Amino acid sequence: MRRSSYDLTNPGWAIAAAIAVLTFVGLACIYVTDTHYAAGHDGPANAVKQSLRVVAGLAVASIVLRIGYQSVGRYAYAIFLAAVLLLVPLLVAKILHTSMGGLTSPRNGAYRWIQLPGILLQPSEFVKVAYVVALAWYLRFRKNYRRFGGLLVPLAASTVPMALILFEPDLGTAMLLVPVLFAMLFIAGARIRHLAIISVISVALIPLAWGRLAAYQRLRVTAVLMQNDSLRRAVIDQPEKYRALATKRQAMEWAAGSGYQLVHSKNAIGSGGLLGQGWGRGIYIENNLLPDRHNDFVFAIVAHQWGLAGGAIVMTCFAVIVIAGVRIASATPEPFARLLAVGVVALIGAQATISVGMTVGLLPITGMTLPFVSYGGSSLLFNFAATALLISVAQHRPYLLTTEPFVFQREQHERIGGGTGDSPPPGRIPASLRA
Amino acid sequence: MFEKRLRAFLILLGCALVVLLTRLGQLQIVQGDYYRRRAEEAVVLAPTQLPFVRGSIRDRAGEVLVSDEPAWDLTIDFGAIAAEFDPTGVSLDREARRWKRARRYPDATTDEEVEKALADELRDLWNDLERFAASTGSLSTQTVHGRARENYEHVLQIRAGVAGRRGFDAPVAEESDAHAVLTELGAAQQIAARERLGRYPWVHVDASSVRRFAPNSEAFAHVLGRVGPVDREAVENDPNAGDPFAEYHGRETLGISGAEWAVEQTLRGRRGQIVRDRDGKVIEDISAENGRDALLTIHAPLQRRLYDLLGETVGKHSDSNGGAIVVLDVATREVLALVSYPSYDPNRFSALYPRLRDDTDRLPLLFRAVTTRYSPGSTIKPLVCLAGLFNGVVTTDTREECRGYLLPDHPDRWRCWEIHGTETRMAHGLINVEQALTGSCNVFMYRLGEMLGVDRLCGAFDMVGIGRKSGLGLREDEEGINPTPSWLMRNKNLSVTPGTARLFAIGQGELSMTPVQVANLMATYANGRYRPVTLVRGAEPSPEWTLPGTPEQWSVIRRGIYGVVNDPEGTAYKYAHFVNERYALCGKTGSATAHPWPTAYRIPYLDEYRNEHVAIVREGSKGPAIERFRKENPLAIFDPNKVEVETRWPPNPPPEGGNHAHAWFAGFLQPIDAAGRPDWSKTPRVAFAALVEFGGSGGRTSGPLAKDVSAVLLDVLGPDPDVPPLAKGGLGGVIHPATEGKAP
Repeated sequence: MRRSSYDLTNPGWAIAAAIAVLTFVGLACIYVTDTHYAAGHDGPANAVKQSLRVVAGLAVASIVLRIGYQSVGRYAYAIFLAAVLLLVPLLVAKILHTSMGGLTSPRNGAYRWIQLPGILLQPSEFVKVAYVVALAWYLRFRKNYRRFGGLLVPLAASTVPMALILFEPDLGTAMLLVPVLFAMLFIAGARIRHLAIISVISVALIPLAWGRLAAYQRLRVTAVLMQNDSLRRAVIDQPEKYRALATKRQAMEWAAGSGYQLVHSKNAIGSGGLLGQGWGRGIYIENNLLPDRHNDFVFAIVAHQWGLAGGAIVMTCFAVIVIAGVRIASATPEPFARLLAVGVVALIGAQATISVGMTVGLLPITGMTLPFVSYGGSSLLFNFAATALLISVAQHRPYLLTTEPFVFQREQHERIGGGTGDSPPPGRIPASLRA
Repeated sequence: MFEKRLRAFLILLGCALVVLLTRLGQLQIVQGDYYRRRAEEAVVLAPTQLPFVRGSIRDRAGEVLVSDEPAWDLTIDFGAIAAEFDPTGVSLDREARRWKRARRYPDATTDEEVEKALADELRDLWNDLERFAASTGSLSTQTVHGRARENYEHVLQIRAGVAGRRGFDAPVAEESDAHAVLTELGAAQQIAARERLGRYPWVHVDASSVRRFAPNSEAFAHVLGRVGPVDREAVENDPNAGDPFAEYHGRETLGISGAEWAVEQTLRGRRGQIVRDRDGKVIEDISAENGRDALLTIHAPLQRRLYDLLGETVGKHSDSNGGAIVVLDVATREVLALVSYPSYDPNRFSALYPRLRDDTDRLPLLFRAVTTRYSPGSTIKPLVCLAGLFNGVVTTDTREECRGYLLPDHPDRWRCWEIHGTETRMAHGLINVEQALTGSCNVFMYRLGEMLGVDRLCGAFDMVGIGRKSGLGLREDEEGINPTPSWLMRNKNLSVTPGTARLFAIGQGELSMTPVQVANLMATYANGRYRPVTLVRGAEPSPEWTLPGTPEQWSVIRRGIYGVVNDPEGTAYKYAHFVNERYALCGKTGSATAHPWPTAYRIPYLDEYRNEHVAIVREGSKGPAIERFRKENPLAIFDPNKVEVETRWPPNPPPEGGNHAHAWFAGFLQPIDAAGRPDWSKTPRVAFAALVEFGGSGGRTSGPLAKDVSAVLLDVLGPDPDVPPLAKGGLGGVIHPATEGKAP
């Protein structure tokens, strides 16, 4: 049975409010950093385009809400397959080094976008959401992931989308799937020591992977490390000792070369101070010195205009989404719903963390957008879809529960109706638990 | 458990949140002022770099041979250049907006009117620029418009290169700069430019410099070399890369040949910089450091006199197209003169270049003294005799018989030289080493060569620097060829035969040397020691080594050299005998067998209408000729196998039959005593080598030249050729000591 849509204690409202704030902030930033007239493009301003996308996103969200997460879940594998298949044209285009008559839209050698009439679609965004749905659907009734062997199937299956995205190349998005996978496995109840073993093995493989990364990808990591002045000086003075890290030339040119974006991002953020320079004001608004300031680095612009207060508000909005999502996950007894909620929360939370961490110089720059705030169609649309799934979970709270899902220890079994919050009265068995 | 895990998950994300907030606080509160300042500085106006003055090159006395002179450049803002050449029209839009904000066209109300007014004004600008360029009488073959277009493409390339390095595209500094479209304007011209073009806000007249040679610098053109624009190779191999004030910039010049190239790092200074903030206040002011002057060891008056002398000599011989003279200080091996004829006026190089390039008869761009290799001919004979002596193969008393030919069974091969005017060959009879040198006997040398063998001969050649760099430090420096057996096999696929050593012993065959090396060889004969030559003061002194041989052996050699010119039996006595109260010219003539060189090729071809034509391309070898023809006639069809030599130099066969020959004379001025006999206790102070290309065999050409050179040496360097010390401020007055005995 559905709860009343207008029950204000529904955490879905908090999520909607947070998203509204984020979207609004994003539009404000996109509006003031719109330099497309200076760049000579035709057509409507970025802010207008983004508003249209917001409208489209709301439409998508309402459709998903109408459909309901259970119906989406039933077709989880089909959706996931469709998403992965959309990656295939990019793979072909990359191998053949062609834009396939305008079907793909390569930029700087990266084949990430498919050009449909009027729309530029980024399949990796679709894949992220489809992945969460499919993984949640896969894990919902199993118990075998309590054994080490059971973890291997989800791991192996995850490598397919990861590899395809990695090949585009899009290191950042591919790596995003890792924490999402781990979070969902962790919440589902995989044994900690198994997850630890996998983590240790992955960490041990990093040095190997380091060599296989392209030079410019390695440079991104070292660029962050070299924001430390003394380290840069050390590389310049003793290039032999730090040869594995960076060349002397890279260190000397850091500020104008690989570190350029980071330098300006930190300048922008730092010059925001406590309350910021004001909307539309500030050196980094008036001068186009920070590359990608409307998408990947939009958080720097937020912090520049509204200072620590503004940055904190944005981060609070994400915190609200996370906390509300976790509440939703714990409140629903249905296994698929729980996993789905956790997956969406992990996806949005990880992305926000990485994006903000990148702008403040704590993480390497990997081209990760800030959900709902950054300029970008596919990202916005699929984030709306994901949160719509989350809110859909919040709306459908079944009343009957027999055993607490994902509870594997004896003590918990003794608590009937378990979980936190309200224990639903016995009643109808929800559709998803029927055959 | 699920709850516990959810909580753990929440805590993890919470930690991340705390970390990020802390970092934000660190950047915005703790270090807020620092970043605020950095943000301000990021929008300072692009720093203006101040150019330095390139150092001048002087001769050994400090006389300036080439220096920077102030000149002016006419520069155009990149915005106007982009507006003209950007095919998308975006740059024109940007300029229109900029000038609309500045209200430059008060009559224009709409954006389209502003654009039209701007386009009109820009068109007037380009027309006025062309008119002004024409009025300056500039010698450049390029229009202002063409130059601006090149500049536009250059800046785009720079932007692409920077974007590739950074990983993203962003505007580059060159796009807010003004770029030169007319350079080397004189004082009057720059005033005219300001008057006529001052109303255009995009036009500026910037102070700059131009490389100016002293008047009448033809004699120095090759030695001094040229400067040219900085190119990609220079930037990639820049020793100062990474130093923002010393590294090469796309608009600078660098030395590309001669001494300009060799002492480039001395001549270069450091740029300065002025940085202003948004209010125009000067934040940073670093003054430029001018480059230092470089001193060459060249004696300028001597070089000029010898150049004129060589020109006269070459002019007297219709077959000759050029020559070289090198004068060295024996003790220090400093180069006092490095003359190469013909040469050109370096101040008018760009105007003259097409003619210079096509003059394949005379090759005025060729630095003969340093680059061209010739067979040394008989000048190598003293070395061969010395090698025979110190290897113990012959002694000072050994006698051999010369009947005019070496092999009794083949009197028509391996012969001694032909007596001029007859068909007969010289037969010296029974002679010793000294007489063989004085008479320049080939047969003696053949035998000596056979006895020594190619290995020992090449060893001797190596001892005097054949096959090694001469020490000048110039880019054009050639090493010559020391034809060791392995070299012969590797490069010519030849194995050693008995004839090989014989040829080397008389200085023919694959053995080849540059005039500098021959001069150094003669200096080595003079004092018994070898060291590489020096052209630049301050270069590291090179090590010297003493050649083997006892004093008796050396005196035999030197007496032989003395006898060539001063003994009536000597081969050069007739032509080169020169004595004054203090000095006698000693030396050795030589003839290097030479074959005429191609100077033009004929290429029969079909044009695009299938008409037959013949093109004459003036190039020195087939490959470049075909390449040049292809570039100039892309549509022509021709068969590379049918390309033939059209003309050669010399155009006529030699007057007395036989082969053409280059004429050498290498010698030194030996101090003589009161009785007119050589005073062997004193070492000569100067040695020289002179070459007349295609001057013919024997001493007829080079002998008189040597006499004239000696006269000039004594005239310019004083009755006692005392090499003047280098100008003050260097290694101190380096006056070579007399190595043996005392000065008179």
